Amino acid sequence: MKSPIVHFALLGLVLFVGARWLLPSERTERAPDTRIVISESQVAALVSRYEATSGMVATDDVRAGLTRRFAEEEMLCREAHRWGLTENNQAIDLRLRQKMAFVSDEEHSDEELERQARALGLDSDDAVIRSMLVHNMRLLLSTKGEQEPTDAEVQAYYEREYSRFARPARITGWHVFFSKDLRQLSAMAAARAAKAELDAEALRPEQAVELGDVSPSGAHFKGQLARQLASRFGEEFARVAESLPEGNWSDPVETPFGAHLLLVQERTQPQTPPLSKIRARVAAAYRSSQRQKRLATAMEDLRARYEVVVP
Amino acid sequence: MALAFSVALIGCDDSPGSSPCQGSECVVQPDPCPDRNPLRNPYVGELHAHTAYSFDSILAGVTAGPRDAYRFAQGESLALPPFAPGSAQRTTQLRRPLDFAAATDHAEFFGEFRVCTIPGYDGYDSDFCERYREQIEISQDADRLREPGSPLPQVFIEIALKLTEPMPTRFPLCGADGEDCVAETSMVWEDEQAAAKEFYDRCTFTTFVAYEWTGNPASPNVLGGANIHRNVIFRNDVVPELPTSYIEAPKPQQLWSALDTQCLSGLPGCDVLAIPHSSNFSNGLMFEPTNADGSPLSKEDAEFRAAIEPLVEIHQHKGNSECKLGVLTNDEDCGFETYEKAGILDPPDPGVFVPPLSFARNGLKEGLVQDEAIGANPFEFGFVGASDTHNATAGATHEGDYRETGHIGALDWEPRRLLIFLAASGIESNGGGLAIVWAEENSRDAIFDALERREVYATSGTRPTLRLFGGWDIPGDACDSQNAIEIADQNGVPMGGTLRAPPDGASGGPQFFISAQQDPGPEGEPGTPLERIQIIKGWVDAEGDAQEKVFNVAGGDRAADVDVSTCETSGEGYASLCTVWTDPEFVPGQRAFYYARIFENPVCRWSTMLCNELGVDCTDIDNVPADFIECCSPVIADQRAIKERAWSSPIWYRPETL
Repeated sequence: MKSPIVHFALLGLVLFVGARWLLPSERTERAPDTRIVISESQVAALVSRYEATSGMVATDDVRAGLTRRFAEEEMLCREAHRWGLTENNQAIDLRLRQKMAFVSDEEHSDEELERQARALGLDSDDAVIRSMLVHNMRLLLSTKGEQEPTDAEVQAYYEREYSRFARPARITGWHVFFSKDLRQLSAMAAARAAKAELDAEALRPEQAVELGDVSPSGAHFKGQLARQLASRFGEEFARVAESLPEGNWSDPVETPFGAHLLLVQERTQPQTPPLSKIRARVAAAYRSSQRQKRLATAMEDLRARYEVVVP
Repeated sequence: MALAFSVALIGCDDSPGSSPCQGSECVVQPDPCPDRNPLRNPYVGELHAHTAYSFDSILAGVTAGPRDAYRFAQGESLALPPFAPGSAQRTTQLRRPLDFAAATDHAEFFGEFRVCTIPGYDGYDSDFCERYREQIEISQDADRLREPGSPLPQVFIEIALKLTEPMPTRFPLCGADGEDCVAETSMVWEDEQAAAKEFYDRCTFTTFVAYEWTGNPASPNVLGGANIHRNVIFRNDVVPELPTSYIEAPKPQQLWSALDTQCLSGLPGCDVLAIPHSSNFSNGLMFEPTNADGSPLSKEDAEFRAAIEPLVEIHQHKGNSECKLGVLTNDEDCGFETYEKAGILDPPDPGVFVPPLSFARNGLKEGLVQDEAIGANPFEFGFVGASDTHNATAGATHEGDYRETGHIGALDWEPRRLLIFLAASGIESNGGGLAIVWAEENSRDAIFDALERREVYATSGTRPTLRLFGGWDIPGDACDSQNAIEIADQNGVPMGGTLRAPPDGASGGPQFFISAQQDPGPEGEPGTPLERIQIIKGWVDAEGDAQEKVFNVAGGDRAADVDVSTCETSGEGYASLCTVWTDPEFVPGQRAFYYARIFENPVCRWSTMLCNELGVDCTDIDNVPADFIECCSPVIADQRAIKERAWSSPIWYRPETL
C-alpha cells in the first residue's frame, strides 16, 4: 500500500512532529501524577509558535502566560485520563487508528491498531487528542453536578442582571409633514404656522396631520426604535423623538424631506421584559455563568493540587 | 418552504433560547413585537458577509468571527488587518446599524483551514498548509505586505482552482477519505449556529444560520471557472448536521436535493432557501434553463427551483448583475458597476463577451419563455443586494468608507491595493449593496417569510425606501392619501407577488403604485435626493420571443450633477416620488414581469474620492506614481460618477386564471 521509503519518511515525520512530547527525553514527566515538569525546549516551542502566528516577539509576561496555559492544559489532560475520558471516545479511537495505520505495515483490526497506538503512548501525546481532551475536560468540570436551574435561581439571576436583559426604548407617535418637494423653502414656515395653530387649538392627531402634506411613510408610527426612525426620516427626527416630552407637539424639525411636527404619544424606557417572557434566555445565561464559575473553582483546585516545575 | 412546521416549533416564550414545545398547550404564537405592522416595516440587512471561518478571509489576515460580524452589524467597531507591527492599525464601524444579518462563510474548507492551523494534524505539516500559514502571517504584517509580491496569493489561486473541479475531492491534507477535515467542519458549523443563536434578539436584531456554497465549475473561455455561488439561509436553529458544500455537491441541483432531503422534507422544523449571486461572471450558467445533466426542465423542476431560490443577489462588491448594455438590452443605465471580466481570475476587459443568461433581467425573461413552454417559471425570483465583505463587516457598503476599509483584509487594505485590478477586490469592485425587507416585525419568521414571498428590494448600498404594488383596482390618486399604503395593499399585490388575469370588466392594463423616498443619510451626512423612478417590463411577444422596455414613470433629470474633481454635488432632486402608473402597452394574453428601479442623483464613486485624495492628475500621466496609475485607467475614468440605485423585486403577470 505504501512503499517502505515513503513509510520510513512518514514515520520520521510523525516522530519529528510529535518529538516534543513523544521522545522519552522530551516527555512531560508524569510521575508522581500531580507533578508537572516543563522543559526548556517545551517553552521554546510554545514561544516560537506564538511568535510565528502573532508576528510579535514574546515578552516575559507572554512567555509566563504561555507556560501557565500549557501547564493547565497538562493538568486537564491528566485529569481527563483519570476520569477515563479516553475510553469509548470514537473521535479519539479514529485518530489513533489513523495514526497507527500510518506507521504500521501490516493490516490490523481496528482494535489492534488502537491497542498498539495506546501502547506507544500516542493517546496521551498526540496534539489533536490533547486538544480534544482538554476541551472535553473543561466541559466536564464546568457541567459537573449541573442541574436544571430552579425557579428561585433563575429569578435571583434575573434580578441581579436585570439591566442586561433590557430592551431598547420604543416610540409611538405622529408627525405632521411639510414637503420640501412641494413647498421648497417655505416648508419650515408652513410648519411654524401649523405649530401655532396646534398651540392655539387642541386637535386630535388624526386631525392635526391634515394641516400638512401626505407623508409617504404614513403619519403614524408605532413601537419604533430610534434607529428605525433615523433610517427613514434622518437622525434629527430620531433625536427629537427620543427626547420630546410625551403628549406635546414639537417645534418644526427639519429633515431632508422637509419639516415635521412630532407628537410622541408613548415612549417606553429601555426596559426589561417580565421574567415569564424571557425565562429561557435568562436560564441559558444563568447556566452559562454557573459553568464559568464552576470551571474557575475547579481550576483553582487543580492548581492547588498540582505542582508545576518550570525551567 | 415548509411553512407547516414552523408554527409547531415556536417556543413557549419569545426568547431565542426557548426550547421547542411539548404537547399542544405550548403551540402559541410569541408575543407580537412592539412595532408589529400589518402593512410591514422596512428592515435593513445583510445576507452575505464572510468572517474568519472563510478560507479567503483568513488568507487575507482577517481574525474576526461570526460573533464579531454580528457585533459590527449592531454598531460596534471592529479591528481590521494587518495588525502587526504593533496592535490593530485600522478600525471601522457602521454609520448606521443593521436590523438583521447572516454570516455566510464558505462551507468549503471549513475543516481544511483548521487542519492547517491546529498543530498535530498530519495535514498541518503539508507543504500546502505551510504556505497557507505563511500567507496568513504575511497578511497580518504590514511590513511584510510592503514587500513586492503578487496581489493574489498563490494558495488563494490553488484553492480557487479546487472549486473549479468537476468532480472535486478534498485536499490530501484532509487525511484518508477527508476524515480530518469533515470532523473539523462540524466544529465550525456548530460555532456558526451558536453565534447566530447568541445574537438573535427577537424584535431588535435578527440573525440567520447560513453558509455559502461556492461552486465555480470550469467553463470554456473563463479563467477560474464560472461563478454559480449560492448563499444558503435557514429560517431558524433547526438545521442539518453539516453544511453541503461544493465538495459533496458540485452541481446546484445536488445542493438543492441535499437541502431537500436534509432539511425541507427530512428534518421537521427545518426551512431553507438559497440565493445565487454574482451571475455576472457565471458565464451564462446561472440562468441556464436545464438540469445538471443538460436535460430540459420539467414543470416540477421549474417549480422546485423557483421555490428553493426565490431571490437573486443582483448587487454586491464584485459588480452588478442586473443587465449589461449590448447583451439583449439597449438600456443605457445598465453600465453600472459592471465588473467586466469573464471569470474571477481573468483581467478586466470592457469588450469581453458575456453570455446573456449571466444577467438577472435576461434570467427573468427566460423564465417567462420557460413558463410559456412548460407551464411553470423556474426564474421567478426577487432581488436582494449584499456586500460580500470578507472583513466580517456586515453592512459596510458606504461609498466613502469603502475607499478606506476595502472588503478583504490585507489584500485591499491600502490605496495601491484597492487600485489593483487583479485583486479579487480592486478597482472594478465597489462597496456592495443591502437587502431591505418589508416584514411585519423584526423576527426570524417574519423576515424569512418576507424573503420567501419576495417582498424585499436590493440597493446599491444606500437606504432609499421603495414600495411597489400592482393591481387591477388601485385608484389613480392613491398617492394623495395619508393611507396610500393601506389602499395599495388592499387593492394590489406587493413586490414579489403575481397578478392573475384581469377581473371581468377591467379595461386597460394593471396599475402599479410606486412610492420612493430618498435615503436621509447617516449622522452629519445628508443623503442624496432621488432622480427618477422607472418601471422595467419584460414580456413574451406573439412570436414567443422575450422583450423588454424601460418606462420613466416619475421624476426626471433636473440637471443634477457632481463635480468629479471636488465631489461637490449640484442641482435639484426629489426627496420623495410617488405615482400610480398604468401599463399603456398591456396585452391580456402576454405574460410579463414589472420591476421598479430608482436612481439617486449622481455622486462620486469611491475610486474618484480616493484618486482625488491621492492627488492623482491624469492629465500629467508621467508624474502619476506607479502605485496609483490605475486611477487613470478606463475602468475608473469611465465611471468617475455613479448614481446609487435600488431595484424592487418584480411583480409577475400570468394570464392563466387560478
